[in-house]
Amino acid sequence: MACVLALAGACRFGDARFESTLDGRAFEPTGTVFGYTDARDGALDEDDNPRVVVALTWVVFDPRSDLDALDGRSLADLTHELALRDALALVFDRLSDVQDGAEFTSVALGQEEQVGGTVSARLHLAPEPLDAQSTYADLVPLASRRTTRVTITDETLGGDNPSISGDVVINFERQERDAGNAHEGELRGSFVAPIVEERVAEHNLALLDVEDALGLPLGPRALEDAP
Amino acid sequence: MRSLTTALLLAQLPVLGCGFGVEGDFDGFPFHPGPTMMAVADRNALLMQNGAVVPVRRADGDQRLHMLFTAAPVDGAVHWSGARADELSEIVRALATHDGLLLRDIPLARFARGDALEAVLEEGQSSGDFTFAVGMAWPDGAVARAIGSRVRLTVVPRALELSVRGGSLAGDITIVRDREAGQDTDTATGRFTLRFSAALDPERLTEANLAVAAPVLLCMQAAGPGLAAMCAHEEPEPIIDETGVTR
Repeated sequence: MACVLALAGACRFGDARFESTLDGRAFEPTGTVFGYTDARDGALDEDDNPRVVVALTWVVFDPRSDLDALDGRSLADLTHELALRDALALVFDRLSDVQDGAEFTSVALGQEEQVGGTVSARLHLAPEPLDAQSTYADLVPLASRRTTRVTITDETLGGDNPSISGDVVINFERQERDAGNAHEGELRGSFVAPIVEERVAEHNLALLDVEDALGLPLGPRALEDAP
Repeated sequence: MRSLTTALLLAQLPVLGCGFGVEGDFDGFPFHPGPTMMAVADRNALLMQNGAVVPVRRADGDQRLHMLFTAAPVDGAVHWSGARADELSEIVRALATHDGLLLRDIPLARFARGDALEAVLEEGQSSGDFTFAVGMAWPDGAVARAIGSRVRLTVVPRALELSVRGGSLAGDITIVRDREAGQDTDTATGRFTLRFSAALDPERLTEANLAVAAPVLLCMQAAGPGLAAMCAHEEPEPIIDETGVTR
């Protein structure tokens, strides 16, 4: 196992860089970046125009290797740390749409993504670390309307070393319900996601227990909310 | 019969300082949910409204008090969910293998008025002024016998002081265990009293930690002493923070 859990900046897979204009919050899903096509569902039914998933996590691991090879403690550490750190999943509805220059948009209110977008953007922000000085009076929530725009800048899905590259802008905007001081701003960055074989990618995501954080691995298309 | 140790503890309990004293057991079945105590005045909340996280000050009548007493060696000044995986696992295991007592949603205004408050667990259903969980571990050497499953908790406030960044409280908690219909005649019953006096803990941090402890204590109460250790794998309750709902 080349890469297990480590700090950001240790051995990485794929690439991502983000800048943040949200007050006091960086965004660092930059440890492991990979993609896969969801060609078959859990019952192994084939999808003629499968969804394409790009996953970005702060934790570092090798998504090509079966995480089942880790000892229980290492896997528990990885799973727990993933939940405590930034992560992002982009789910493109159709492989045929993922082409150079293609643009995709998702709009969400809080954690509820609006139906009808062309990409499902599943954002997991690192939960607030709390201490004795954390008060409700000092808490400033994030603005609740979140618009994610993705532009594909390069794709080599048919090549020998397939990958997807793209730019991502996630904008936070206040709505009527938001507190007047709710943080507005954006997370702006880019990614390069090598494509990993579907079976091992889904197996690893299942082992990492990211259903709550990222809604992965994907369920059957018919049971998923359409993006 | 009151032991000398507990009698001394009660006698020496300072009125305004921090203290903790216990008296009684359940027919020889010991219960020591201390010395760690966490108490929080729940005066604020984060609501989710159409996806927005909205901090609100609860109305006076909606403010609550939560308390946790546990013999587990845990540090309430640390954010448990944010700890390393092995540390969190150890906290949950410790909670599940030591006596503990959780009281939730005590009406703060009524506690402040000095009202005696009561809650009952009967036939697995709780009712009353607040909710609670009596988590009993199976101590070494304890005789295996049924424990009365009808539980009545009474809280008698002695003092409450609230300030912007904290405050303090004191009171007495009495737990009475009785037989329920269908339990053997030699079922362990009895009365246990806990006298406490403590500073109120930081609201956000303590509520987050109680979200870890509560499922464990509720599981222990449901499981009983013989199976309480199975609660060492309980998942924390989700909480709301600036990012939304966090699990």
